[in-house]
Amino acid sequence: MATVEIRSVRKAYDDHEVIHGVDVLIPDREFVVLVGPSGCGKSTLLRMIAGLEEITSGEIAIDGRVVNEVRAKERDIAMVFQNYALYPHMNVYKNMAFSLRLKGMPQAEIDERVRQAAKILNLSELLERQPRQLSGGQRQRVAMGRAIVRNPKVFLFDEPLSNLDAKLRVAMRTEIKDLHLRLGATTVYVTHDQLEAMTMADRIVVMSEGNVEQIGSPLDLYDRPDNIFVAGFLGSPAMNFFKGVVGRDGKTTHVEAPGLRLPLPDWPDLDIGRPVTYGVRPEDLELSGAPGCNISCRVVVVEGTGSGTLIVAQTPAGNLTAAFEGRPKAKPGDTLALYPTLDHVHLFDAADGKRLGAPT
Amino acid sequence: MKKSNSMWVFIYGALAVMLVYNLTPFFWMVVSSFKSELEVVSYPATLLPNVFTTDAYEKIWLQEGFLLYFKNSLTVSLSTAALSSLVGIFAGYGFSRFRFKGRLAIMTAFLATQMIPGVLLVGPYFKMMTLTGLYDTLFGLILAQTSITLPFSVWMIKGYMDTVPIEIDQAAEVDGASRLQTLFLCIVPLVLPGLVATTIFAFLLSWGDLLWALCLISDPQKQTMTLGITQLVGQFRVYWSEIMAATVIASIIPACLYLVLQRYLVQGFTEAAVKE
Ligand SMILES: Nc1ncnc2c1ncn2[C@@H]1O[C@H](COP(=O)(O)OP(=O)(O)OP(=O)(O)O)[C@@H](O)[C@H]1O
Ligand SMILES: [Mg+2]
Repeated sequence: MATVEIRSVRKAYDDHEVIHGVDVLIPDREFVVLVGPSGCGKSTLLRMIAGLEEITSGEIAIDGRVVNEVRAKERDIAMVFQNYALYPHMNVYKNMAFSLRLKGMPQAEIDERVRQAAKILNLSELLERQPRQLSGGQRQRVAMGRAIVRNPKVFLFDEPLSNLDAKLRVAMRTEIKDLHLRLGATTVYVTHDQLEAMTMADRIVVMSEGNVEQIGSPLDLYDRPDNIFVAGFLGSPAMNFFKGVVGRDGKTTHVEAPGLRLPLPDWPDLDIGRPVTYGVRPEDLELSGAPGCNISCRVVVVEGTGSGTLIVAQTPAGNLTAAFEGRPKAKPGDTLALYPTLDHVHLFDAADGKRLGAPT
Repeated sequence: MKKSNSMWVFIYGALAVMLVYNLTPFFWMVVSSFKSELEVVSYPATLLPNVFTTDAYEKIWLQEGFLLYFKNSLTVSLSTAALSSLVGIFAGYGFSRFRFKGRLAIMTAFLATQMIPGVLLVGPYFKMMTLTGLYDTLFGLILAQTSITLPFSVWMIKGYMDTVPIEIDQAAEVDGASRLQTLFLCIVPLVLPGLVATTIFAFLLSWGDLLWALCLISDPQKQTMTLGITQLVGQFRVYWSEIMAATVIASIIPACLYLVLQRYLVQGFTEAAVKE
């Protein structure tokens, strides 16, 4: 088990820089998820940790030892690839035993480790099968088995679930998390699926265009996003944003958007007239609340999800989405007053998108 | 699309014609090899031998030294095939997996050599072989033939290796395999059908070669099958039945290769076609 330290790491392909100086400290035993939109450099970062990609500048240390010049095979890490990369000509047993064989481990010990891993992953019946005779989920488990027999310092996963159907994905999510709890190995997990990140991570690293946007626990990031990007990326349906300026009406402050007055809680140090972006999550909109503290809108679409209801509504400043438990009575065309939960309202600087202080 | 009866008749008719066209020379070769020397040149020609005799075979095998030629041919062709496949594995892997300066230029140059007719290269090779003392040695012949088959082998093997996802290499590397282990434990087994097809192809090219043997070998002890056959065309007469017997023997190896390995050949060549 080990820590992973990433210090000012940059990566350039020829002259084109794709990672612009990233710092992440991953403590021992932690499950860290790198998340971000496609092309933001998650895989590249992971592959630099693995040693499959050269580090242009900066340092990566595993267990305190700088590994920039250490080859992948000597880093003592295990990696699960998106397409699993099982050896197609070896059966499940041989796939899992491959690394141990290379190490020259005695046959008896190899056998014990493989069978142990197979038991943990429910693969005992499949040891003689060829990879092509397995389902997607089974292949995924073999890929994990290949990693855990090694008992490596660090586990690396690159979108291991993206080739599975939705239901299996949820099941495997739990399984991987459970495995992590049992083995307690330091894990770096890459995904572009924010829900996967939210549900699995001890800590999330949100990336965009080669930069780290924010690092923190899932709920931290969800409740206090550092900037508009993180706020919009985490959560589904996504946070509603309105551009406007801070206004004051007697004692209360609000945000004045085109044709719309958005209520604010007491907010210290807020200059009147400052351009801001107002953010509120769909589930932080209620059907009742303090008088006057509402957004009036017209319902466009009502989507029942079974357990809850999504309402897409039109305001003069753009559409918003609201999420409710249960089945509120509303139909397209209705006029609705939505009350933001005031202490869950987010404000961001209109210019740089950074979060503005906090309501008291 | 459903084909009408007349369509089928036409298709099978055409196939039959092609079959006859292709197989008649082989048939003639085989029957002639079992005829006596007199009968083979008699006119009108007989379709099947009047007197069935294996004289021609005994003669070339026991008296004319074809046993030795056969061995020489086998040595040269096996070595050429093995050498071009072995070098091809390394070169193909390099071209498939590494991006280095001049990669494309070298690969194009490889391909370009295939465009040059061998005859044009005979002179330079002759000179090189005499200078290095390899003229009139089987080793020299093997080297010359390998240089002809190698570009093809490299291109084919590179093509097969391109079909193996790079993640396999990476998984192996993370699993602790060296480059060589990755290549021989993880990549080569996956391209085996293609590798076999390529090796056979190089073997057959070498087996059927006359040009290089003719130019680089003069010692009768080092002649190959093809060279031996040309010697049967004497100044005053042509030993037809012996030529036919020798060609039958020379055909046995390719025929067996096709029979035993046709599964690999078909699989190997179609794979290259489909996956690219
Ligand atoms: N070998 C390469 N040569 C040049 N550019 C590359 C190379 N590999 C990746 N890139 C670029 O680096 C950037 C980051 O790629 P990366 O694969 O890390 O993205 P990602 O976050 O994993 O995206 P995805 O979710 O689609 O897998 C992309 O803009 C990509 O085009
Ligand atoms: Mg990726």
